[in-house]
Amino acid sequence: MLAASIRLGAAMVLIWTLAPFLWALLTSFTPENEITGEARLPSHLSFDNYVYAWRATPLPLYFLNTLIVAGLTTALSIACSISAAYSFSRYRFAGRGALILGLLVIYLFPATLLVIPLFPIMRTLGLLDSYLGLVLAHATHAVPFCVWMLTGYFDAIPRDLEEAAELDGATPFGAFRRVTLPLAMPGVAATAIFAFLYSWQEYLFVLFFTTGEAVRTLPVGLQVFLSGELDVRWGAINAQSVITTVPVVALFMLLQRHFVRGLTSGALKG
Amino acid sequence: MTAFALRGARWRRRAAPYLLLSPAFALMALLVLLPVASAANMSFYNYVLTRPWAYRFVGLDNYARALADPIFVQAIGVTAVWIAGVVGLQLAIGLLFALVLNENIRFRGALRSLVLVPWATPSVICAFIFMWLLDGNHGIVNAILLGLGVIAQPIQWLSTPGVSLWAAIIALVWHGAPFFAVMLLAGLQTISDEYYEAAEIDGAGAWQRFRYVTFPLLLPTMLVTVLLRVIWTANHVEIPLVMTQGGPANSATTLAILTIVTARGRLDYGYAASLSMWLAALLAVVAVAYLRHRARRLPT
Repeated sequence: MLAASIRLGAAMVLIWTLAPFLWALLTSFTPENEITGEARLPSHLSFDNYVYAWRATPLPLYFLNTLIVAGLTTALSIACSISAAYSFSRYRFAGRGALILGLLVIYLFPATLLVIPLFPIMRTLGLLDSYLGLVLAHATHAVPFCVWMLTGYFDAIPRDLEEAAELDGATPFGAFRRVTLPLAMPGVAATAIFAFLYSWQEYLFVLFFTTGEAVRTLPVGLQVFLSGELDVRWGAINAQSVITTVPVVALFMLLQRHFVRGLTSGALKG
Repeated sequence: MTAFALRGARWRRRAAPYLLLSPAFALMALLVLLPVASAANMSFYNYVLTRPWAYRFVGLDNYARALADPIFVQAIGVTAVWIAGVVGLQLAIGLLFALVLNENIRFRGALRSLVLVPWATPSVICAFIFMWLLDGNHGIVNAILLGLGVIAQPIQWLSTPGVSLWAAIIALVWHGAPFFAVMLLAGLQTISDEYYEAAEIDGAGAWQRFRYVTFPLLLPTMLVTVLLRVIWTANHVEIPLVMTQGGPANSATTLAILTIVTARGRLDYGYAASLSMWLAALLAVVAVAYLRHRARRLPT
């Protein structure tokens, strides 16, 4: 009885999780004239929607913008966070606990609260419709979680190794660069990819800080495209969705062990 | 070495941790603390971007205006339904997932990975997927329900008051349930087998083992996950905004959506800032509860 209900549960988990995604995938390969027809299943699979999405919609521009914004967000966040995380992990100093707590509080500040005051600031500084504006906005969220995750990774590397290097004449910075950093590299890479994934899918800041297509990233670009359609081409929309989703899902699957660790240690909020 | 140089070295040693922290904290001060202070300040002004000449200090007027605004009052109720629906269903589904994934089933590793797919899917794409599934004319959900004879007429899921909010709730539950599953699974894995063995020796059935062993031991994990999710759900805008634009007739307008629409649609930043302060104040209670719990587990 119990075994049967567990199997039933597993089947429910699988259907609930995959059915919506698989339906979108199937629609993306369905010829446009069959999507709105009576038959629910396509007569043959076609790549037309993908060709249309890539050639006839601004998808390639949004894709490029997203790569640039997510790449720069990752670089900025990791650059700022490595030294901060190293400091939290290796030094004991006055105010350390308060600063860690402060970072956590900052992390809980919602984008809804930040986007309102940031808009006039960005406008005054001329940062609307610029990559820099989007990168700075995404850093508000990416930096705290990068510091948090990296601190955990540095904590896991024994101090003794650095001390040994220093006894051999290395400077503290040299010991960090030659010993700790290489050992922490898998963690740094995982953290970087999470920053990248966050920026890839972020919506609200991009919605406020872009007025035209020039630097707009995928989530907002596709939504504006969808709402501008008089007669929605669902095949093309689903093809765009698949193109947007597959790279991140693939990266995610690669990193799932780190993901679970980051999530359960409180570094990721969703 | 001179005393001066020694003092210099000691000073450097003392200053090092702060210097290392300074880039990250300078960025956060500029990008988070300054804006939040600016939002608090903004909420006391009549600040409409299209009417710069009307900019003036109005004290608590914006806050009072919210209380007299029927849409604000409605939004509080919608937010309550939204949070309860999303967090409640995510908890229920996440718990089911965690219990199944904790069993010794075939393909457990693969299943644990696949469960994460909705979480990895960008939230706006989740909205698109559910808009397509629930499309009034060509959506598969209507087709299935009509085919089974459950409904006689297609349901306009996204443009019926009271229904559109639930459509968005279901989409966000799909997106966010893996978070609960992962957190609760991690919690389950810390429960020692000995408890189950002892319960079994005492003759406890499957339900009793869940009720008297799993549930109480998992409760702390559930509570902290729920707190975190309440904050996150209350602030989530993109899925309901994309799917329903907060409508029809504001029936799916949560406080967070009202804030966003007030700023972006009406360019009324003073009022929007006061609305975001209301939301922050309501959530501060939850955040303090979460931080009190969290503080005990900060990295040392």
